[in-house]
Amino acid sequence: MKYCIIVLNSVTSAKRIEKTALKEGMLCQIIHTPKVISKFGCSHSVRVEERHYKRIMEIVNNMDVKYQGIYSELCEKGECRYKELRL
Amino acid sequence: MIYFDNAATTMIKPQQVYSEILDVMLHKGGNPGRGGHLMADRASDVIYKARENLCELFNINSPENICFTNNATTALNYGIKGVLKDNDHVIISAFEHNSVLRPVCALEDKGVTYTVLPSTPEGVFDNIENYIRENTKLIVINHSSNVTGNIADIGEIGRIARKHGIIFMVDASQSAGHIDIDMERDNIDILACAGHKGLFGPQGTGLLYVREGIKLSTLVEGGTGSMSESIYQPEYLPDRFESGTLNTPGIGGLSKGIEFVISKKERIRQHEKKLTKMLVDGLSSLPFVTVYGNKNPEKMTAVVGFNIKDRDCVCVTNYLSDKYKIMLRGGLHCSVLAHKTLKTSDCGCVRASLSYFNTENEVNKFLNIIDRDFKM
Repeated sequence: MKYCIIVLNSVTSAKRIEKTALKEGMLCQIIHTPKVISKFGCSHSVRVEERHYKRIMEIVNNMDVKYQGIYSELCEKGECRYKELRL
Repeated sequence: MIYFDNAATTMIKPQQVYSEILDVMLHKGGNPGRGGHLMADRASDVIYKARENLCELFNINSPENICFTNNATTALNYGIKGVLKDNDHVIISAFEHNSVLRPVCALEDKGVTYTVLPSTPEGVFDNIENYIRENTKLIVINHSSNVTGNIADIGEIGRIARKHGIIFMVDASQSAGHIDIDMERDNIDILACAGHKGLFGPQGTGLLYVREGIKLSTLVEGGTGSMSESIYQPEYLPDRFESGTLNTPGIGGLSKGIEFVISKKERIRQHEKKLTKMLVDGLSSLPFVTVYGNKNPEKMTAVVGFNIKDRDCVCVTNYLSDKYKIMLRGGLHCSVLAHKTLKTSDCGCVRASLSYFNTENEVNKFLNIIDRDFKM
């Protein structure tokens, strides 16, 4: 399954987005951002199924939360590939 | 035992506070914001829930703007020293605690000047507009005095501060959990308070709220679990003021305390007002007792400062503790300015401070003992 990863500045912002997404019934998870897509070192990201991409970005923008980047994630047997998404 | 030292710390907490602290330690004991495993995530949930509860209690829009600290003093230092720069001017009230006065005075060598807004002993301030200068950057007001319980009109002062473009900071250490605070209605830009008093958290908890758009310089820098490649402290909140591992069990307990306050907000105020009236009326009726402050339960929190004629205040509290296990605090209560205003700098006073968990029976018993043992 393909996922969308939103890389955030703080775990607090990630939690804020996660809570709202869960309330809307989206399966959502906070992950420690993989090093390869973390621009400034450690950070936390929100991971949702890619089909929720549009809605999750609406939530992020409505909250005026700053993010470092948005990526699509495709994992097979623990090996993940990331592609930056442009809004 | 009768515990009347709730202004120092509420010793009796709602049961769920104790349970949550243990539950966090046993089942959610990862390091919040560090790593991404299940236990770290559970710990982050505990912290985030506490932020959400504070948002509800104080009408705060964004959980990111709440930073957890070890206590109110740390939060006050972050706010005061984060705002004031060389040659700025600050107005503080005549009832400020030393946790405001001392950080302000420590900035004197940077050319920071301060004015103490005069007040009557009853807590009626001079017109603050007369004390505003061109370089006034900050106003700091103690919402409720830890000596008299006098409540300051922060709504009016906040309105004036906003009108003049001055940052308005409130020390809510003695008011949070006892009386209503609304960041928007009261135009509060920065709020500092303890978590272990009226909010019923454990000791070692405090918080700082900073309104969006106000940039504070830091006092402490370090690891935040974020932006680790940067050699500089993050600019964004709450990470900017939350270096190092947070007190997750304590904040979990605080969160439950806040939920308790939210669920009983009006009942807490009504109960405390009733006990305060009993205490103030009872003490005031004794000719050998002097009660300080405005003595009007509508305009004070449940803190009553008083003295017994010809008795040393600390000797009185020692006697009551030793003989009856009644816990009060005597002395200056780290509030030299308040005692100056009350003209009690030489003698200090006895302070009885109540909480939701005190009872009418306790107040009656206390009054009977004071009458019987100290009657002239």
